[in-house]
Amino acid sequence: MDLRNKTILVIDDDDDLCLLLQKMLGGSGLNVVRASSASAGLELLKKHAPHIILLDLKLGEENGLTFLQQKKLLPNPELIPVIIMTALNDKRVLALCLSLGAVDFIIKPISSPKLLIKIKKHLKDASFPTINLRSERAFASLECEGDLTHLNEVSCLVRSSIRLKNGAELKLKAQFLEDLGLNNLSFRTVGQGLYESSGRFNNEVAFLGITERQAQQIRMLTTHVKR
Amino acid sequence: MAKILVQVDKDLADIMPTFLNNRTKDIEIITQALVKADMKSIEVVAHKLAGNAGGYGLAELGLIGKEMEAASKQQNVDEVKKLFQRMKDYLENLVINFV
Repeated sequence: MDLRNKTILVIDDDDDLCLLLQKMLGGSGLNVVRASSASAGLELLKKHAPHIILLDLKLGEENGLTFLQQKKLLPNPELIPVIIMTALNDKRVLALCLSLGAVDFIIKPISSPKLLIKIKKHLKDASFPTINLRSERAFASLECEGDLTHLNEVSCLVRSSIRLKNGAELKLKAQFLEDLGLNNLSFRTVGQGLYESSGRFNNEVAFLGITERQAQQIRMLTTHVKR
Repeated sequence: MAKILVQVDKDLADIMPTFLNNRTKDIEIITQALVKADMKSIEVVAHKLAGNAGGYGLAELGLIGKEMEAASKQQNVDEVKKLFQRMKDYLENLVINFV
């Protein structure tokens, strides 16, 4: 399993152990963030939304159980697996950790191969769900490459790998349009994009608010202009 | 006392000096704690040693830490002193070979 681009939150107050873990985990491509207390761990959990957490049970004045209890109060606490690191093989405490949402344990001293096996196992089991953003789609912004293939006084054709729906407002950036002074126009699609070939779509885009001077610039061009 | 030869993964060569330097600090902390009979401070230091030394390839030092943690919990000052001496001897005679 590829560990690159995965973030692991290490919560431990031992600087030496954290340095070692940074070495072990960072060397495997994981992005390591570290907290040295339960409360700081909770803050980093909210800030980074890590893929997995390594938690020490003994954290100075606080302890790992406090973190587990607080994590349990967050939405979807089961999404981010927690592996407990401990020097104590106390079954009663470990059972309590499981009841609070921990998924596994690793007994100190920690060896790199054992730790990586556990991390890979639990990263494989865990996945963040796809979130339905239907209500948010009006605010989405998407940038994609495209070819400006045809142009007339009222619209142009944009060939892209994305099929645009009818009436979608968009921004077009092209040196060609800038040279014609058309970059400050508003653009809106006319009809739904049509499939052309090889996964490309022709989208007709209308110019809104074009001036006579700008239209004149276009008329002066030859047809079938390619960017 | 004879030298203690330990083979350690060469990947740890760059972080080992920091680790050993922090053990010198541990020795200072334990020395002062023993003067004040502050077993709680010794327990904290020993607990960390028990958890981290093995990861650095120094298993014996980790075991000393584990035993010292248990002895300090039990307020067994004599045992803590013995283990502390073992810890100092170990660190003094340690020779690491990075492989």
